[in-house]
Amino acid sequence: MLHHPDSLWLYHLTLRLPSNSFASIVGNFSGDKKVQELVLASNTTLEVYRLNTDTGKLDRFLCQRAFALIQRIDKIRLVGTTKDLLVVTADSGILTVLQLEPTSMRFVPIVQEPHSKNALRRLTPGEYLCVEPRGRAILVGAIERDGLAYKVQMDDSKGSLALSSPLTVSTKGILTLSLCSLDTGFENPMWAAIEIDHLAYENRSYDAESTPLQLAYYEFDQGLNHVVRRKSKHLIPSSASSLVAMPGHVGGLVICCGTYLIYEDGPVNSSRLYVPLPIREDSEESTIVCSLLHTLKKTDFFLLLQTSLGDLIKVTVDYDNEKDMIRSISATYFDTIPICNSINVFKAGYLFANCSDRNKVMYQFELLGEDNETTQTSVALKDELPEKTKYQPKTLRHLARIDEIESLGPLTDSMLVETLSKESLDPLKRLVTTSSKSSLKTLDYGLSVSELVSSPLPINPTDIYTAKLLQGAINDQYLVLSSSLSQKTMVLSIGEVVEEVSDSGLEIDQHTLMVQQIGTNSLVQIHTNGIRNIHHTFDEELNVTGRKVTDWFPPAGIQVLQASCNSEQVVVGLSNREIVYFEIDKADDQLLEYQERFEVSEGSITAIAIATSLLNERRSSFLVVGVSDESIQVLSLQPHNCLEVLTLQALSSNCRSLLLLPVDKDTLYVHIGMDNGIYVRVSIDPISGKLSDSRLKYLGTKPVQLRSLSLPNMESAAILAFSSRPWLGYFNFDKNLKLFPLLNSKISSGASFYSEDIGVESVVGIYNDNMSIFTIGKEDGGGLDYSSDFVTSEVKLRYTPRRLLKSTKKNIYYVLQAEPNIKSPFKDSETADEEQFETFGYPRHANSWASCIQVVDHNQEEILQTYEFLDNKYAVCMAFAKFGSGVHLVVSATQCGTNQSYSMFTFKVDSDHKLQLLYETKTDGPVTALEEFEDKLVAVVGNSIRIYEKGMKHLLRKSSTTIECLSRVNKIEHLESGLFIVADASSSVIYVSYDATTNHFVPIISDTVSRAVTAFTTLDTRTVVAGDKFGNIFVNRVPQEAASQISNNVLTQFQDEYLNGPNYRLSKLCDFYIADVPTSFHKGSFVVGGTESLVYTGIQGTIGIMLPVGTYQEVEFLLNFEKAIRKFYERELDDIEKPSQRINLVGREHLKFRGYYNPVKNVIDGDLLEKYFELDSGTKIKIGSELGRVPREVERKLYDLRNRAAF
Amino acid sequence: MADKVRENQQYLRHKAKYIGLGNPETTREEFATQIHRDTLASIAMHKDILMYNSTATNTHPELYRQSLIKKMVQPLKREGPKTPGSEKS
Repeated sequence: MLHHPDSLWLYHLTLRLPSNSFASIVGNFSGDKKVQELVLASNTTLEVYRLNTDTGKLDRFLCQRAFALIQRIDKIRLVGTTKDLLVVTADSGILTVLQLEPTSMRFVPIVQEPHSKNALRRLTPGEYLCVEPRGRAILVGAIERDGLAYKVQMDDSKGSLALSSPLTVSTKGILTLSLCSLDTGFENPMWAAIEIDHLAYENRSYDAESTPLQLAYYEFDQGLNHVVRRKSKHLIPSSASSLVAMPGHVGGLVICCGTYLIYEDGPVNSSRLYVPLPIREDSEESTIVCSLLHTLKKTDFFLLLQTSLGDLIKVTVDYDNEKDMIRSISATYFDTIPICNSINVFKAGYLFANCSDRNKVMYQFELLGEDNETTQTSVALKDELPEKTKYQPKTLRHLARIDEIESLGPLTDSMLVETLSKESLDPLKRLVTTSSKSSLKTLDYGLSVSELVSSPLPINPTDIYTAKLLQGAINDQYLVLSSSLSQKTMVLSIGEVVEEVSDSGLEIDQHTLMVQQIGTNSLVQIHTNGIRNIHHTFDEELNVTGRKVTDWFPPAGIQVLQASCNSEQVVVGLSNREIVYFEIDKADDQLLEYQERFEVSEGSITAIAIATSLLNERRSSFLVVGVSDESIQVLSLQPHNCLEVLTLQALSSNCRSLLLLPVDKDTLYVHIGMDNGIYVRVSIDPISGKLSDSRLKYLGTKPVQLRSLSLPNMESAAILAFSSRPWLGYFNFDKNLKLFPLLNSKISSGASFYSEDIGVESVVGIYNDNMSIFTIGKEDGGGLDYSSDFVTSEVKLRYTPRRLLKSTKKNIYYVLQAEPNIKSPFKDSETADEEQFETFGYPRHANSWASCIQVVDHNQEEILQTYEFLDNKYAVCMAFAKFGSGVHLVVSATQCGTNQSYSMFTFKVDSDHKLQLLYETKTDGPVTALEEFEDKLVAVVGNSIRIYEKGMKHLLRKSSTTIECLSRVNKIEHLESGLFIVADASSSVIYVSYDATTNHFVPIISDTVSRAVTAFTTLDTRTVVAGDKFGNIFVNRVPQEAASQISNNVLTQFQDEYLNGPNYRLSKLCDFYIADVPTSFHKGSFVVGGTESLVYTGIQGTIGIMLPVGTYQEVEFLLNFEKAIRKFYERELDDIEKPSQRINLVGREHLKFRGYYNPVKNVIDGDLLEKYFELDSGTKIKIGSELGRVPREVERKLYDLRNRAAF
Repeated sequence: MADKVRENQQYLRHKAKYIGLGNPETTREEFATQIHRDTLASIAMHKDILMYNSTATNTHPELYRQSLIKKMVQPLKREGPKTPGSEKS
């Protein structure tokens, strides 16, 4: 199999994890009473954010993949502890309790309790999970019939949590809609559920709109160790959508049902109170979709309910503590926020909105709200419910928006484009997506900067340096600009104003190579003609009172070419190939020259570096020299073997710039910038000086210059690299170097800069004759976000975007949008208040569509034109067509109503990219796919493929072929010379060929499996990659014998039918499960010049890449690696002693997960392989030895694979 | 004869545990009902497919999930007039 000549091997990496979270929980997961963490659970990942209580911003510090489908999460706290644990159900059929390990700051499983077979079945408990508020029991429920109740115990031997064997709860024919756990104080734990008994409707008719539902209570009898199910005495209306438990002292629960709330006190009395809900003015009911209970003080609490329109309703209870009864319950309209999957409140007064289809938002409470005209109070009987009270939604009054977390879901379509402009000839790849409900979002790999100051300079500098004057000073004092062209230096002082200083003592008639504070209060300047040491004397207010200048000159006629220094050492490289080494005399800050000089044997010195930004030590023990024979040498600076060559390493090009920076006390790296635009990072052994583990990255067309930089909240130094664009590299928390292009900066040199006026570490850079001071990160994004790889920019659209087309010429995009069940306010007038609809949503209206085509100018980030479809028509698909001359856009539309009608709109695209409607052509069936074909248009109408040509008054039908095996086509693509690929939502991909002589389409090759294809793209003329609705990605190839038949062979046209389809079948090359519905595929890579790979997007905002693995040798290595790591990953929880080794979060077998529907074929999961970084060093060595490699080589391999096409 | 009775008893016992089980007497309707219930439950439980559908129909995922479970009561019942959004772009 491995060596099959026609096989294709792919290496899969998820670049952006699904951003849509179905649940969020706030708790003290780290065990610190004062710090609250937020856990966000997506389909396959758990993310943890920590709240910065000063700014209200959320910092992500953990993101873990589960390699399983997470179903529900809840938190549990054991009596007497302050630490919350996370309870998770997943498709592994295992109930897991996770603990946030304090040392590694990762979730590790402490209990894994298997209960069912894996996968999501309707009888498998896991769809509902409720922990009893006092942490005594857990109920896990299935959609139908089954449930399991676990008793939670303290494990005395370990002092940790243990679960009893479960009690089964089984009620035949019961479907559960919602489950919540009641707060019963110290009585038996109890849960309540909204249920339907489907057995009762076997002979009766059931209507989802009107048939009432039942409410059932499950009581865990602790004495008898038995669960009792009790039905409520009353039924609940069909509109009941969610349950909210009241706090312990009140008891009971609230059932949210459309227009009112029911309060029920429990199964014994089932006595009720009815609370009418305020209803938005143009709607009929307030369906509650999520809720939260927040306790302010001991007995003071409120409920916040969110309606399906996004309005928050605050529910308060007037409770009589003496009589132990509720006086009244009231509901008040609170505020309107985007529609959420869940909402949470932080103790510090923040509200987190886990929005279901846009960016998640953090709000701060400004007011808690009081009763107003929308307030409704409870009544005792249902008949007493008053008339509906309507309110008009208002802009935020009680909440203030603080922060956002970027979310891409639902991501419906995308395009991978290259930014090629006249200004920057060095393009970047970007992904343009239609996502996050009504936005066109562009993802650029990199970091953005926010400029603080920009000013022109009197000279045209090539280098810039910042310098302090005193050891330990915080602020930078001098800004030194120097030009290698005019051999001039300019000194600016930084204070309230930046001005030129003349008395700095620095040499200004030479080109400066280095300026550095040295000793206690000296400044050293290394320029082309020597070294100047300025010893300052200070008065008590730290003003300079005197300067003593000492100069060192090289021999006559010799120049200083390169220099490097830290606060105790100076080293210079001269033009006569000599290296001179100085150390500081601590007594008087004078430089002492080492008596010997080192002479480079061949070539000249191109770069030189000693360790800077030292963490613990004061001196560098190595000197790295770049020599023009394409090599670097490491020299010792230790007293016993000073200037002795320790190591040599050859490079692919001359080294232009060098840095030697420590990451922590055992790790030291040499950063090399080379003439050919490649940056290399080599690790250097801190004892022996041996070089190993070099990692390469191509940065641009120009030679790479490196500078070190300090970043906020970062101990180790970062690097700034300059090639054809500036780059920033820093060591992430997991000690991996991340390199990002700085997107909106043009600087050609820069230096680290700190001033108390700015308050954060910033960068001062130069471009041409301008100087710019900026900080890294977005202005409004709260500075540098260490967790995100992409910078997002956004253009707002009108409705849910569905399809995206890019104009061939310019950066113009055509976005097809359609949204059902709303009434468009733009139909009558173009002047509707867009902002209002952005906040409150469009008015809902059943069976009504709103749809439009928008033309977006991406450079200007503005919408050029909006074409709104009227008369309940909605656009389905679109394509460009030339029709001989000019560009046309054809859009198919369906008119919704009692009798549906279908048509195609033909627009002429003007020179200003705007659309001009030519005519509308009626068709007899829905047009679901369009494609340009020569000068004609191919349209799929129902299950027939047709050819249209341009006419005077409408499109003219030229050919029509009905193909039986098609039923719901969603895309057609022209491949070459009349060969088409058709994707069908029920019968996979089919190759269809157009026979010009008979004017017919003939299906020639179909797939062996029926798949619900959602998107596809071609890899070559024989190979197609597609994704289906269930989250599989597969690659199909035309078999060799069929491929040779297709070209110029009449036989394919007249082949016999075989199993309801053409005679030939596609062969499957790869198959893989991604746990997200694929929405688009692209061939390409995220780095310019990277390996041509496969980029995919998923509806939940997943972005992934699959790189081809070229050689069998590599495939074999990766397969063995995967096998070895899987062995560690899939150990039973009982076999693992150390918590740090528990990397399998919910106990799902990796192969079963990736082979969810079909066995994995020829895809290696890089996501799993990258778990290697998380392992402890012992396991790393063990896995490495199985592969015959040391851990460093394995890590390097992973890095290399990633950098072939991504980052 | 006794074998047949025992077989039947065993079938019923298994049927109580695995509700999707069938035998030669299973009607077409009963079979289709089970298949539909499995499908609807699967859509309701897979968050990605649920989101795909709820985006296409412009409903809240939780409400869409509940409507799918409600459909499980009588999955074969013909629906009234087709609601918009039942087909995805």
